[in-house]
Amino acid sequence: MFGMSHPLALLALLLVGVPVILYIIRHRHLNVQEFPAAVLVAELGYIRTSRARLLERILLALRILTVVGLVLILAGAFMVPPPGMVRFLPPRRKSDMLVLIDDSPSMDIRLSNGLTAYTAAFEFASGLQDRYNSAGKVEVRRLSGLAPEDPFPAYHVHAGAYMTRALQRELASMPTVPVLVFLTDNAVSNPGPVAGVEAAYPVVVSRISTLPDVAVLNASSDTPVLLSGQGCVLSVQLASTGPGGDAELCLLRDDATTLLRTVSLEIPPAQDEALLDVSIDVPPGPEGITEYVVRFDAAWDAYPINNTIRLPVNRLRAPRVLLAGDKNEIFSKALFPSGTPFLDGVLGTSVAAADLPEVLDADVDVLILVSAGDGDQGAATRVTSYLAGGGCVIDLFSAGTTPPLPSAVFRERVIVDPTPDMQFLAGLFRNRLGSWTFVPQPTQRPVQLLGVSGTWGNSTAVYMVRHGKGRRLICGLDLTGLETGDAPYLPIVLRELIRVVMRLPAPVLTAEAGSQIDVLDADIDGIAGTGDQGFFRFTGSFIIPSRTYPASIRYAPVDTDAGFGVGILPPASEHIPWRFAGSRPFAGVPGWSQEIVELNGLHAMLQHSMLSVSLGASLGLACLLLVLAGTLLSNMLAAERARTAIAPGRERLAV
Amino acid sequence: MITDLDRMLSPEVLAAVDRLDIRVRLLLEGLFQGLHASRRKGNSIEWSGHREYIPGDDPQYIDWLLYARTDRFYVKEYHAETNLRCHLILDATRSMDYSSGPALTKFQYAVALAASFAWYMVGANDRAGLMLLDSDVRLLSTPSSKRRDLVAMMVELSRAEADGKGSIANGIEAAYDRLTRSGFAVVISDLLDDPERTLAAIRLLAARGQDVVVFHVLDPKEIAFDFSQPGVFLDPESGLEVDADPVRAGPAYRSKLRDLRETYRSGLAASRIDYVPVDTSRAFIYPLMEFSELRRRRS
Repeated sequence: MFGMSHPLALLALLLVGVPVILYIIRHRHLNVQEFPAAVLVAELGYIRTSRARLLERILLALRILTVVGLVLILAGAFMVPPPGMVRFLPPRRKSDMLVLIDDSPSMDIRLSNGLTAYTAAFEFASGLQDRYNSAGKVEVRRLSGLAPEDPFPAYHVHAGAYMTRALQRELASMPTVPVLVFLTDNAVSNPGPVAGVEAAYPVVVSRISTLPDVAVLNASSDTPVLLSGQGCVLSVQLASTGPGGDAELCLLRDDATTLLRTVSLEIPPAQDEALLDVSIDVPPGPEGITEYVVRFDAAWDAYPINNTIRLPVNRLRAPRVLLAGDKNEIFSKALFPSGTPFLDGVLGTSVAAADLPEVLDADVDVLILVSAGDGDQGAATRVTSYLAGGGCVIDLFSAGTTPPLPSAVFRERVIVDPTPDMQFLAGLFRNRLGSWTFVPQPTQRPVQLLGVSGTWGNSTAVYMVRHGKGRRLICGLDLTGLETGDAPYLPIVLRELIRVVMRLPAPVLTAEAGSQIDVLDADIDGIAGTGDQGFFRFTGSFIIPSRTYPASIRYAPVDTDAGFGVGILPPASEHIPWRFAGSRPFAGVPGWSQEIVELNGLHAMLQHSMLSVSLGASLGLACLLLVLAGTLLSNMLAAERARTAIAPGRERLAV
Repeated sequence: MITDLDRMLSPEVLAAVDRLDIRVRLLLEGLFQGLHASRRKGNSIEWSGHREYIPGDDPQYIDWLLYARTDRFYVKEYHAETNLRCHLILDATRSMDYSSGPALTKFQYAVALAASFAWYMVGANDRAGLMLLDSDVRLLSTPSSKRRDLVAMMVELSRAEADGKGSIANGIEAAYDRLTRSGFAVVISDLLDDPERTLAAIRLLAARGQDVVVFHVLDPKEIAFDFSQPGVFLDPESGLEVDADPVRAGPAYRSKLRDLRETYRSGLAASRIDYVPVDTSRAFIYPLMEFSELRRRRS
């Protein structure tokens, strides 16, 4: 404990002695004089000295307790925890054993016994400390995997690559640790070589099985991407150099090149390794409409040919989107298999000439047309006029067909075709559905979207949309057939785009099917996928208005072989503890279930606090209560004295 | 102590006392003639009246002129002038041994006052006795008009110290038990006791036929409570300590003291007892003069 051997103990002793010295000085200054008529003074209501001295002693005790509490709080950093308590504090002396716990989000996956991997690792570390820490030489540290140079850790993608690097850095910074135990899951890409690098030290890598129930090859999440008509172009250009080689990654904002970087591609691509960290290289953009462009010129690519998609970012409000066409369109079928939001599909195919003016006159930021202008040459003029006014038009038409409107009309045109690139683009749109505000089609009722769709291994997207009264929705993801090998870098491009928009401090609204969740704010840290296990998840922090709230949902198929899982895990346990409160069928979709997660913010805050902080807060609170009690007692005595000092017809005495 | 007493009883002071005309309102019973009228009929020169002759009366008091007119025997009666029995009752508790300055303590002042009375009484051929009280009668000297007894009493007064403890009301009650005959009782005390009990005890003296006068002796600090610094005020007799600020508490204290004095004054006046407040910062001749003035008005 905090003994006298510590040099600060003298200071603590002096601090504790301050109230005593003040008491002695004050006590000596009392002027005692003989006065036979003291009884008359006592009858005036003045405190008898015996009571006054008792009060002084009580106050002295309270002051000493206060100072002791403050000293203990300050000394918290120097206190050695008792056995069984794992501390993550710098060691006081050289450690004989260093236990590293992988604290990356992947450690939050529940094991079969109901514990998370992190909990299991924590208990294991506690056991090590209990066993060997009698001399205080076992040190436990956490590795979050965050890049130290990352200025935006909240947006960081916790990838195994970072954990590997973190481990390497940790090993490099602790060259004198004789024994190192690394408790991790399989987030470290190759712990063997990592351990081998520091072969001079025995590294024990204890892998904790965290294989999820389901997994996907890769995934993307939508974030508060707000689109409007000023344009954000995602350009993926056809490369000609064949597989592998270098690629050029370009980020534009408001037509200005913000970042240009040449990246080296691997075959197969390192899917979890970011090629561009926008949060580092790109300063935050201004409020309002900002155009973001990610251009990825790969040396080998096989998809979208000269497709441009306008993806402006507007931090002020969600975009208003009008989706033309009906549910019988090819693209519509891919995008909305359940038929919504087309409902009756009154706004017909190819946007008839009679419909187009009404569509263009709608107060929307993004207009999605399907084969716009087909059979109506006058539509070109109208669309051009609409674009000149700042509108955004996405024209969808099937590949292999002749676009009804000439390409020169559009700044961007999306070719929709039942090919992998079409699937990607379709998925990309669907990702945006969550943040779009669909305005009613001119002749239709308000949009109501709700659906889950998709099957594994068949290049199918899954989306979930709820567009209810409050127009709250966000959950979209893309499960395009990335394992087909013909689109290896699209996820990278998509990720970079996501990482651009992730930096935007716009509100995120999440929802679950069948209910509405008020999420005041949220930051999506990123996504995590583990190879072809068909699992992915969102990680991030959510700000919810109550302590217990079904603030997040987790969907998992009953039959993992037949489907895939979509997991929106609650925030990591180190932020907010959570538990599964139950399960219920999801939206009537066969084979799907919905698990309700309850969060407890207050408990999380206390649990997450360091021991010293908790101890300090407790002592501080206790001292505060003592001071308040002393003040209350003093006030009561003063009030009693004042009450007895006042007599009818007599002047009031100041007490 | 002797020196102080000599100074207090200096010729100037005693001359001033000799000029006092202390008149006793009540008729006193005495064995010796003096300046004070007695309830008994005697052979003084002041005629009181006639009464019918009873066998056994001294024939020399028969009024023969009246016999000549009425043919009956009547005896002439006169007011007898007797000696006054004065009891000087001094409070000798610890609270009396207090002086806020270099002047006399309350007890020294009381001793001087009592000595003056004794000197005067003996000089007038009256008897003077002494009682020192705390919670009981510590010292009792029988009233005497002899000079040597006066000297002895002075010696006793010089040797006395205010170191007793207890209630002065109990002491006065004890003195009441010792007073078997009527007379003149001079009570000198600071009366720092329960006012109700003290008043009741003093009234007992009057009920026994004593002509009582009470000198309420207080130090000027006890009257004004004008200490400049706050502090702890210790009652040396009871050990009571009170933490107070005299600057703030002064007005209330003085008001309370006025109430206390008025309580004594009114309570004693109801029993025809004179009450004389005494400030020890003033010469003790002044309370004597005030007392004399009281008696003059009463007569």
